[in-house]
Amino acid sequence: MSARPDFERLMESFLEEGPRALPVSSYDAVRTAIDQKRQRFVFGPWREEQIMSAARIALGAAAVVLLAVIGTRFLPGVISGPGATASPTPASTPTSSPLALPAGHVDLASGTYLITDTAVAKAPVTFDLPGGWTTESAILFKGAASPRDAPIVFATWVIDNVYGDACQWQGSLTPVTTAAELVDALATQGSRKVVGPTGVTIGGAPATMLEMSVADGLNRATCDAATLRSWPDPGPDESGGWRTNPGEVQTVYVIDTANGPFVVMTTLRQTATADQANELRALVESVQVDLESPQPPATQ
Amino acid sequence: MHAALVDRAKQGDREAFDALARLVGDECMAIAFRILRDADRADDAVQSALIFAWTDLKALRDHDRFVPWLHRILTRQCYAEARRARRMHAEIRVLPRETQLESIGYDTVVERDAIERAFRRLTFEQRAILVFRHYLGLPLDDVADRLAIPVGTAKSRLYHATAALRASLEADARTPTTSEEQLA
Repeated sequence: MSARPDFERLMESFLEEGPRALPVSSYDAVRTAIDQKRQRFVFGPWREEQIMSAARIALGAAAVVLLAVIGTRFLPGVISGPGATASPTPASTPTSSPLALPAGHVDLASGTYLITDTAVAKAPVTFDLPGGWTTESAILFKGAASPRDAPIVFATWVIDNVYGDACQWQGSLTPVTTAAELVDALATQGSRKVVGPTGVTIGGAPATMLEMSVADGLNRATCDAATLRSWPDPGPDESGGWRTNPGEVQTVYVIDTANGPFVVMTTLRQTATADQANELRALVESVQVDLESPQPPATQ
Repeated sequence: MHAALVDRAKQGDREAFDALARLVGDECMAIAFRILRDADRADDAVQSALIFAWTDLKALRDHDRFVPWLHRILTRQCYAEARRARRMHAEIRVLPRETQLESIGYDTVVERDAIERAFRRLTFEQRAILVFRHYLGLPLDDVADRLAIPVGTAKSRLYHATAALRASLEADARTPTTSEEQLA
């Protein structure tokens, strides 16, 4: 017997141990899962194949656009902001100047819109919207009567807490104050499958993207209150926030600003048609974030 | 062969992806287990990685890079699995009989136990780099590629992982009484 273990021999012997094959049942489970899943459309030339390591999350002052996470949003009331006006009818004609996104539930005409509400964005965000979209509390959606059912959804969010587990969410809130903390909290959220973080750019601004869906085989009925939650409203206010469901894909881009991070989110549900997916992609590609004029912190 | 299947799978051919998964899945399981040291979690990580690979396959531009790309996804899934709340169940580990130890490279059960304890003390990032470098035998450039880190970082991480493993083994070797008591 060796008087002293050979380190290399030990390590290599140890690494040789263990299973070398995936069970057949697991292959079958994968096949069942992909039979029910559509492949994700690639959004824009700025999507990078290179997957950034978690160490690159800290982008400092760089803006990160976080593209929508799929889910439904529950807000206790109407969001209002500078220049926002509630109107029961859509704006008549698109103008060259961006239109302030109205508060409340409003059917929107096509045009370029501007979000300046500091409750949902830390920097002014503009985007081009085709016809047929509706806004409800600054959540834009198309193809259904409610963002909870719509096949495509677009929104911006200010997130100051993230649930540690989307299914067993009660009592699992983790506060986040920086872009790096936010990305890390989303990337490691329990009961989720996450692709990313990935370094991307939108409108020339560097961003970190995460694509989140619900873990395979998760039965929503076993979750707290039979719901899956991503994060609450700022505060935290758990009466509102983002929820998600199996089969949905949330793409989230985190933007860091001088006043802290916020996210741009999109939701793509399995009911979305190819045209709707393309429309959502075009919307994302039109996003511009004005980092030069970050919005002042909301007054308390 | 991978490239042809990847091409068909990118166009939505589920049969092609299924065939692709069965070609690469076993190696993924081997990698995931050796990082996580838990067969159930490794299984979950591999399944998640394959499903993500299906949904995101259209983003893969170079078909020949499917395996490195998949390994990156797999590594991230392993890290995510490791961070999730640990399941409360007893891990029953079957130790090899003394007569089998020599054939698999160990001198004693103590030796085998020591390396396992030392490995489990490593971070998952350290485990991953050792697995890709010493189990798969990949050159450092390829290891860095699969872990999505710069080559310099890979070199440094490998050095520190090896040093940590060695130090842990040496620390255990200085307390042989404890190890033997654990075997009793």
